Amino acid sequence: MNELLEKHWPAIRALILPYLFIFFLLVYPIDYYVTAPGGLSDVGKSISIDFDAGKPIAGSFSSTYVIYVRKPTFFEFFAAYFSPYNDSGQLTPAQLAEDPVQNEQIAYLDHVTSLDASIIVAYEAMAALNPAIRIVYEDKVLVYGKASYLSHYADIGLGDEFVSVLGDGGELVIDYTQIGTFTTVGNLYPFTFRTAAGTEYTLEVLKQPQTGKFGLTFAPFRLVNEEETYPKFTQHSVDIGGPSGGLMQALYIYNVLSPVDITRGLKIAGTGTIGYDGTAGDIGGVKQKIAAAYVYGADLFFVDHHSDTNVYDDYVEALAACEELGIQDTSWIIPVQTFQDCLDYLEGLGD
Amino acid sequence: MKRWLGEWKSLKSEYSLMMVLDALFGAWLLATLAFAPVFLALAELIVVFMQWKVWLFLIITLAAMGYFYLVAHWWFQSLGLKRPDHGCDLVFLRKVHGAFGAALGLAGGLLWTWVLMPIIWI
Repeated sequence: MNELLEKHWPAIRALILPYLFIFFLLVYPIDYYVTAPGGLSDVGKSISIDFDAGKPIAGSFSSTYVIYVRKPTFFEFFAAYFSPYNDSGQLTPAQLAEDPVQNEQIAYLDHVTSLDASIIVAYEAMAALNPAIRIVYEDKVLVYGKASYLSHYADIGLGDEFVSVLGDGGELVIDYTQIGTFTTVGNLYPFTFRTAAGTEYTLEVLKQPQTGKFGLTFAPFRLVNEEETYPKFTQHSVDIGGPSGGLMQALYIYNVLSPVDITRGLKIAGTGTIGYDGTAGDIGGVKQKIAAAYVYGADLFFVDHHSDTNVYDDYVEALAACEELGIQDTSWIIPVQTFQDCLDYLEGLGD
Repeated sequence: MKRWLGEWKSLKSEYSLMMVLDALFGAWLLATLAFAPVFLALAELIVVFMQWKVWLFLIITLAAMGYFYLVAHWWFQSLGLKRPDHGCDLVFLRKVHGAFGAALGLAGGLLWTWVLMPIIWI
């Protein structure tokens, strides 16, 4: 080894500083973000339904995902900066203060709860046609965020169900919107939570004097009762977070239950959250999702559309992205407001 | 193959196992340091340009071929520096091992890009 080092030492000595500089560009993270096109994710990989409607499925339903790089290296940032497909910018102080681990957990929670919403919407739509299909769900309030000043930060799990809190004067508060009314700043209150496994636990949580808050964020969700729902389904673990696949998940599940293949043999992609009433909702990263769907050859792309005049409307953004990326044909991008709009469009395609 | 075996036998009789391994380690270390920024840069480009991942993996395949070739090149160059009066044909061994390494890089790269990636990549 020494002989080799000795022979190449002049070159090594000349290159060592440029080498270290290049390595610095490749490993040092900067306070910026990059959003890049990801790809299409086959919805069938995230959920399977134990039901055979006795039909072949010729096409496919895919959600689209984007890559979000928090604190890229100099090299990643400059590579992304000069590409029209990517968006990049500086992280705000609030974004820098965010806990990346908690963000990942929230993205996972969003994904799981969006699957429940998709199941509810698709099963309810199909139950109207097939009485054997039964959907049972429960309204629950889940822990959806934790501030750094929350007492028992590590003990309270994101996604755990809020059960109750014993407020001032011994008032048992089970409505999470009333917690502020029955609690006083500077006091400790026993909060009861329930984990996904069904275990209840109670912790004394302080209403912080500095902020006047407990540091807990709650959000209401509808969770499917798997025992009483027919047909059974299995959720699979995937590395994709967030709720933006909701609309496509609902379409996929509906198609599995439907006696007719609604894909018409097409590679159908799309994006948009799904509300419990079937409404398609806003998402982020439209430009990158359009780019991914275009590159991977989607035949149709459903995107939520609620206003022609709002520049932040997802369909308006999608058209603007096509213009920016030089995509001439936009006929494959289909604006929808609801899950039913998607079904109507596919029905209108005929055989 | 016959000549390759003969040259290997000659090499083993001229050099100790420790010398061969020491030369291999030195070559591996230098080649790894030389190619580390290349692989790192390509991995970061895949994150930012996921839509071109197949092309980027093919470029990584080329880099892997070069990496394996360089390991073989420096391995036998190092052995040549240790014993200038050697009898075995180090240039021939370098060519054979370089070609073998490059083929290994090509096979691994193509296997990953066209077989494994479509199976495991979402």
